[in-house]
Amino acid sequence: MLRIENLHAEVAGKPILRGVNLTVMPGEVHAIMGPNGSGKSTLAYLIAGRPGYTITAGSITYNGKDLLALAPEERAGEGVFLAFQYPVEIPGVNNVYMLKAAVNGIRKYRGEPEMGAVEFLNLVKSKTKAIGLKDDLLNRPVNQGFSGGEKKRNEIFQMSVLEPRLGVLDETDSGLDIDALKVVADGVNRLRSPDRSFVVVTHYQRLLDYIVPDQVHVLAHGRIVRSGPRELALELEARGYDWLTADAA
Amino acid sequence: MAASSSEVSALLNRKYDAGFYTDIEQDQAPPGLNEDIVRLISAKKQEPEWMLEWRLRAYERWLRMPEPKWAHVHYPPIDYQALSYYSAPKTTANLLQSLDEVDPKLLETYKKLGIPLQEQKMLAGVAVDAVFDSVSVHTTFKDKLAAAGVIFCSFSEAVREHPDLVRKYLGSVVPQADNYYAALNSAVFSDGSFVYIPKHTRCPMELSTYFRINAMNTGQFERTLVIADTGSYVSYLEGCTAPQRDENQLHAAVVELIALDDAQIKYSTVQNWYPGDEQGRGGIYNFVTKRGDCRGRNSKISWTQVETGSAITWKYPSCILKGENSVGEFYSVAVTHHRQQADTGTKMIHLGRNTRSTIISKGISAGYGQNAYRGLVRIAKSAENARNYTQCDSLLMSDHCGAHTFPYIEVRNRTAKVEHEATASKISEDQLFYLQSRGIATEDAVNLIVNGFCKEVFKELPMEFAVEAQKLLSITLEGAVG
Amino acid sequence: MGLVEAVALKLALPTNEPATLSALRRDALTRARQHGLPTTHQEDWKYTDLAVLQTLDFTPAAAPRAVPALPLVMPDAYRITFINGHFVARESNVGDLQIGCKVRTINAVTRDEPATFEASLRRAKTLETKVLPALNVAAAGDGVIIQLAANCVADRPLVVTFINDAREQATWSAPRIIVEAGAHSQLTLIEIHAGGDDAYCTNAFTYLATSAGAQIQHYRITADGPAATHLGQVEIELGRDAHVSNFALAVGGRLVRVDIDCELAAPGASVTLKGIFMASDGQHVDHHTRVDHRASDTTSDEIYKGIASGDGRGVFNGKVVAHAGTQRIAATQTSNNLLLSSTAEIDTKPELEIYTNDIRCTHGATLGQLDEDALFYLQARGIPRADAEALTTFGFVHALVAEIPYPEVRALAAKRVALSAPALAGVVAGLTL
Repeated sequence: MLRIENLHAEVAGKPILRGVNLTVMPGEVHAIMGPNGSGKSTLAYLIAGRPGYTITAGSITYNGKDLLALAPEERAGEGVFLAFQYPVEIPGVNNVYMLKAAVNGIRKYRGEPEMGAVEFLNLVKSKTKAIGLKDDLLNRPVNQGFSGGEKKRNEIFQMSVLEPRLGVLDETDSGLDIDALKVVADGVNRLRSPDRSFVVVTHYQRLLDYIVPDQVHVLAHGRIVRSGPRELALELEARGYDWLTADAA
Repeated sequence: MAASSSEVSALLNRKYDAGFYTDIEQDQAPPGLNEDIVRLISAKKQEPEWMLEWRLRAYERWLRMPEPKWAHVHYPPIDYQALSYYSAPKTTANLLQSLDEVDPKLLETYKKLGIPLQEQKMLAGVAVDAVFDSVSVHTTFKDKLAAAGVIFCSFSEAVREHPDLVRKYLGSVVPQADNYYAALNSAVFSDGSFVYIPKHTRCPMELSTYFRINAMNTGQFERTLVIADTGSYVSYLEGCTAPQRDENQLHAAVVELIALDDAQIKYSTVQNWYPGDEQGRGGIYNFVTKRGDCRGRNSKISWTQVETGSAITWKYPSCILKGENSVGEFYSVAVTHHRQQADTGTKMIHLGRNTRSTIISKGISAGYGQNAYRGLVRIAKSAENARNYTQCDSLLMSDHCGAHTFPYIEVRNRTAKVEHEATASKISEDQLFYLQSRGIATEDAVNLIVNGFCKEVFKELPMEFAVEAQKLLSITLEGAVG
Repeated sequence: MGLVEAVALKLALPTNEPATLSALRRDALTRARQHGLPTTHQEDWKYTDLAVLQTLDFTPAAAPRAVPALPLVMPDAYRITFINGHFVARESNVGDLQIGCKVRTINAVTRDEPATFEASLRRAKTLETKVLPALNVAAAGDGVIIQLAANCVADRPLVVTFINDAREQATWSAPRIIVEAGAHSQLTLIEIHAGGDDAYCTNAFTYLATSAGAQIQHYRITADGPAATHLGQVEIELGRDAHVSNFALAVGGRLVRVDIDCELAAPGASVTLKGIFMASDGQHVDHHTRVDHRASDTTSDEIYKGIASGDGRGVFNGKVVAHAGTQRIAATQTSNNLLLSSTAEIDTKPELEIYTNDIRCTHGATLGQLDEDALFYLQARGIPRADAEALTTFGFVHALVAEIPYPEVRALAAKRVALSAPALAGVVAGLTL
């Protein structure tokens, strides 16, 4: 599904990623952990195509396609979804209008007919109920005036409507209380299927109690320094990152 | 606020330090302005014919121009026929070169102002051109500068010695008929400084001009021209003082800066002309046109000004950003106390691609002072990807003063990004109380806060000037909080 | 013949009014003649040229032949409608509003109670200081006077519609609205100007005077035809603890100039000014606002958003004056603008004049591109770049539209905003649920 090879990237001449390798097979959930500043969010942004980074070496291949050659909306069309760590507030743009534009933007990219208003509203209704998103948030401007938890919930809600093939969750757990965390995890777990994969970026292993990963990777100083089964996360919880990151510096 | 009234009144009685007068024999033109006076000035300067013709053309134009009335300042009409347009210490009549020939009284004057002209006593690394009324009396470190190829001399000398450079650039940034005072200056300018930095040269020291108005009933009309050739750099400073008098005196200078490809000019001013007394008697009318032309690619012109003096300030150091990637900056602190009035700001004219400008203006009003920021940011159609950031803050220290902001933003290119932020407030009582509760006296606390308010501008000044500026600011504002 | 002379000669003064009122109008005309129409040499008219008006031969608009479709239909609102300057009773209904409130046409008041009209005119300052309001008053023209008794709370909004549908070239009308809001009274006034495709000129004057504690919500919509010149003056006088919020929405006309002057004359008064202007291809839209803080403890908040596209030109000039001797003044002002083409132009000038130190004042103006983070967010959701840009641009002004509590007004505003620039129309139309 996703193959990242020897990825090097920098911002304004400052290297952030220094040779990342990662392979995600269909149906797998991979957790990326690591200390602050290790490059976790950069990796998530690069998969989604955020401008402002210079890729100096390496590649990202997604279902056989060169992902780096695609515009962000084309990647979304291919089924990539990024749940933002800091969802952006967009004044004056209605949340549900935006989502309809997204659904139909993706359909158009895939050469499918646009979704009608009634069908769309039914879809939205069923998903809001599942995620427990308050109805009034739907008609507010995108993320504006949302609490931290509401923003994260809104990301998961959008993901459940757009049904991506690759979901990238960038610290979706940060700032969430335990109830909200469960809602987010339920949203992801419901979407888990043999042909859908997830990359879950997180600082704490807490989220991984609810979204059980197939593999855990530790990113430090722009490289993956350790990969292992889910137990690696527990070990990190107990021992911190220092024992792994010292060599990578 | 907390300062006791006795403290305040004691502080209000402080003197304008530079307010003394030098009793020196003057060669002064009779009052009035006509073609003969223009010819007289030109003759005194032993100018070539082309210079005289240029002056006469400016005079013709000036006659047809109306005096501008749009500024937010008020003053009685100026009688241009009552002023004398030329005044020089007699002893400089034969254009001195050596310091030994300078009248000791002049040396004493500059020493009292803290500007010794003997090179060995000078701050290392600063070359000074001293202008006394209408003439340049001495320029220091000329030899050292000459070795680097830098020309730093009085304007009169430049007209005689470097006519090609003067003819090429004079009036090319501020045209003769640009405005009323620029036209007047072009007709009667007496002296000033000329700077040329050759290609790929970093000027080995700071250049500085010290302007002094001494004689009575004279106007001072100096002209400064700075040319930074390809890849060069220069930092230029100017300071100004005048004696304390009950009459208003006119100072109408023109400064032109030209930066060619990859060149940088940093121009700093600490303006401390006599501001008049508490009742607003006397003081200098400082009506000045300053403009820089970023003519070359990647060029940069940076204006920094600390305006504490003058009865009225009318001045807008500006940048024409013609060259691709050129940068204009304007950092200003303007203080008006008692009856002082200032209408000052800048113009950033973006013509070239990827041009950037920054404007930081800090206005402080005290007593009955009136302080206006007037700025123009214009993004022309041709200026792709232009950026401007403007921050314009006013601090009001009494309930009789005024702070005004007139920002003009004109944009004709969709790729432009312009941001203007302005605030106006009194000194924060919370900040003041916090400092006082830490044992800091009110006046000191006010100084700390005001200095903090001006910090972004002061940090742009060369070190010696920054110290001078902070001192001036606290002197100007003594007794302002009451 | 220019506008001033046209008013003088053709737009004759009504003859059936008392001598003192006629004298007031004649004085206004004299002032207008003395000063002439404003020119670009005047600071307040630096960016807006009225020279074109001098070349047109204006005549008063004739009575309407038929009633055109109303631009704003609000079933739950009271309404008063004027077409070509003439009151249309059939399209007017003020029903229960008359309880505690007198709503009359200016022509009726001039006939029955001329002193009332005259007294209002004598209070209005801009009639003395500005040429266009003086011209409005000098000429014959109808409008409405609303007098709210103390404590009268209008239960529904009042929509006052002015339509110019004259088919002759260069017709001229001078509509006016006067509101006198008694102590603690409340009113929502929706003033809308619209018209046909001809080159008509509307010179409107609105005067809102509030007594202690009165509250007025005033929506002023310029939805004029594509060849129209719209000149509008709003004068707002605020009494003790009075509050007026004015929302100026400019989504029509060829040459639009609206002046809004607010006098915060007594302690506790506050004013909110909001505005949206769309300067599309061929349009010139200029808003000048002035807020005078003449009393202590007064507050003003202002936000204007403008978009210029095609070869349109948008002008905003906001001035806040804090007068000497006042204390505890709070004023904010924001002018945010977008340019959608490089043949368009925006000129903005957020001014402050402060003569007291007990103030908190912040001003800001921006002109610039869209938020890149927002664009990436939308793209990452699968929305193509061009659509993402259109959506955020629409959102830029729609954020203000969304604050209007009346769905019909919101819908009208959203529709006119979307139609004003081709780039917006497609994406926004596609999004209607």
